[in-house]
Amino acid sequence: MANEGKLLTVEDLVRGLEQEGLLAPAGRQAIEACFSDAGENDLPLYLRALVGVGAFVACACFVGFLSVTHLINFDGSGDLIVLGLFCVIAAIAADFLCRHPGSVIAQSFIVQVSFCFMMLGKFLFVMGVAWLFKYQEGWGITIGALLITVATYPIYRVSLDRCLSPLFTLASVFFNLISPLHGHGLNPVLINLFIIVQVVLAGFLFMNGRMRRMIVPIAYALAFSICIAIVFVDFGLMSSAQASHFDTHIINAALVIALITLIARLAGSAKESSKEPLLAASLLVVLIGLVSAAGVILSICFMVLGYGIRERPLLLLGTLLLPVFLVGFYYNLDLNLMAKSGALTGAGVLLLGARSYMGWRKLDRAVQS
Amino acid sequence: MLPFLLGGSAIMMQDNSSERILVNGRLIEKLAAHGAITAKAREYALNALCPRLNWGLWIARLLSTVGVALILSGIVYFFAFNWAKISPAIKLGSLELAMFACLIAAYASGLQRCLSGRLLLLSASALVGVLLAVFGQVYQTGADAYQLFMMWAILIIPWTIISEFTALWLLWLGVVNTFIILWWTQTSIISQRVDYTLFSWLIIFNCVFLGLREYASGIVRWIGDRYSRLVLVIAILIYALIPLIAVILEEQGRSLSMRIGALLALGVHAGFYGVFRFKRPDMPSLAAIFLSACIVVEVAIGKAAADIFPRSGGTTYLIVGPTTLGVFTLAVYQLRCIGKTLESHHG
Repeated sequence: MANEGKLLTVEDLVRGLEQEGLLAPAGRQAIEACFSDAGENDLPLYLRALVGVGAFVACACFVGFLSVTHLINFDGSGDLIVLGLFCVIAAIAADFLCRHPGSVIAQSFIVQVSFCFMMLGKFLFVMGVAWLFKYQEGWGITIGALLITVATYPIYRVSLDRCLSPLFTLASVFFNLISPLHGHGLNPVLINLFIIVQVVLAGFLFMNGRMRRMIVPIAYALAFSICIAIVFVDFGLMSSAQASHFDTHIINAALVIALITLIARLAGSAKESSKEPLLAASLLVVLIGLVSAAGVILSICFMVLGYGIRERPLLLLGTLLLPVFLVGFYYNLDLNLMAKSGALTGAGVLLLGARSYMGWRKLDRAVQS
Repeated sequence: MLPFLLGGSAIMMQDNSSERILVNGRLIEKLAAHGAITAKAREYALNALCPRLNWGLWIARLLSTVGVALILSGIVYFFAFNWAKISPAIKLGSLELAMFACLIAAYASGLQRCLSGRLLLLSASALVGVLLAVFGQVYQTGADAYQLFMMWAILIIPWTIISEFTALWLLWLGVVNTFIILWWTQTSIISQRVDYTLFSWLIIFNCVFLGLREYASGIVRWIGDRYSRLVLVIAILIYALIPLIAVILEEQGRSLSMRIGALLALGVHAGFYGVFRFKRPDMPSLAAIFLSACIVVEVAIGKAAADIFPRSGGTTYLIVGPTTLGVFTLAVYQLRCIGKTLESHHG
């Protein structure tokens, strides 16, 4: 996150905390001790993106090499699992090597190599486990991904891996649930349950102020996984057999409840709201939930959460997703263009009406600190 | 040894002076995660950094933006539904009315301090393009698409100049780039000798505007935002990559225009590095330049390996894989060093 608002130095912060009695006697030393820890997670985002791109390309080359040379049998699970584990262990060893002070160039190289081998190892391991589950390779992929994610998450500190690995696992679960190969009657129930559990979990992890940084990538993985699921639900990408059994109102209701809870906790904790604005906001959210798509409510959840807990990536994600889901919703509405025009205009008038209400009640003023 | 902190905006000097370390949100979260500050202290720190969350103001803006967007979309759908039934006079008249309404509202709001005024002017500029398209459709003028974009760009120049709005300048540049591309593909007799000349023109044109932007940013206050620079840099690098990659991959059909384009592209990379490293230090732009350079190097190495070992795909992969790691490592290392140097100069 870039600096927002005014410039504040550490000394200013420490003095302010001491004046407010919010800093323990050894607090100053504890703060300074935090600055000495440098590693992959201290790289700016654009450098991490560069590391990720390089590692991905290298990993693809190694997979290509193994495939073309037939050094390992891609149809045999044993080779894949063993080689995969070997690569994962090598990646972890490289990561441990990184933590010791050394030259910057060596550290940069080892980080790249480590991430490359981790991607390669996980890919091979998951493929190997998938082959063990004949005729159920989908669930084999999920189990393989889950095993390797659980095993490596506490040890391997690369945040990109810590986000992508759980995300892959969650996405594989979802794709298995919507696959036409699996059961037909139960799956809509499971899909709803799966999405709702993710929403609750993501909300808990993001709202928990004491959440350790180690868990943040999982929270983001949950957020992205929910997005993937909602895209499939809203854009009708499931098979017709699944879609005919699926009722989106349950997910809408769950997201509406989640949004109202978020507003109550976040706006309430800022002490700027009274009962009336909260009731008005809740009513508006319920109305949006009744006439709109799950993706729209989800986007608003991300925006409110991102603004409330000052997580810019979440705010940006919600801002980017909102027009996508709005367009998708109205495009897929089973109405003619004239009716869609009315629906859009009506929704816009409703929101501007809410805006006018806020202006009339003087709720749209900036609060001076 | 200078420890390098997350977010790139805080760095500890050799004398560990906390008076010089700037705080950002990520640093506060890191302190909280390490237990250096309590949850209450974290809340205090975040409020000190970014004064009180203005929920009311934020929600009001969100409702206004989304509400207006929905109403405009409703209007578009209305026109789409009734398009065949609407007479040409109403089609053109309604667009002109909308355009004038935006202009009057922009004038009333003012352009200097009010974002809504500039957004209205941007909307009016966008409507000019729609009006020209409808005009061409109604009167079946037979004009080529490039002529539409050319007229669009010419007509909105005055508004773009007075707007003092980066987004409108970027819209204008986008329209002009589209005009150049369409003009080239629709009117030029493209022989093999000149097939890559388009990219050279695009590079030169956009570099001129980037140069003007950099020159003016020191004088004109509103050209301060970095995203306009990054957008232009990325666009130019994309145009530069095409002839560069083509000249690497083409074995026998390297036209003169391709070679010139590739030389120009190399010059652009070198020039950008010099400017954004020494004159106008900017890490995101440097990261884009390094990524572009890495792509070129990767393609070159891959092509060389495939040529040397034509029947051995495995060897090609074996060479490219570790080389990729090396190339990107060098890029990351160089960027980290540059970043540290720049921060120590500004600290």
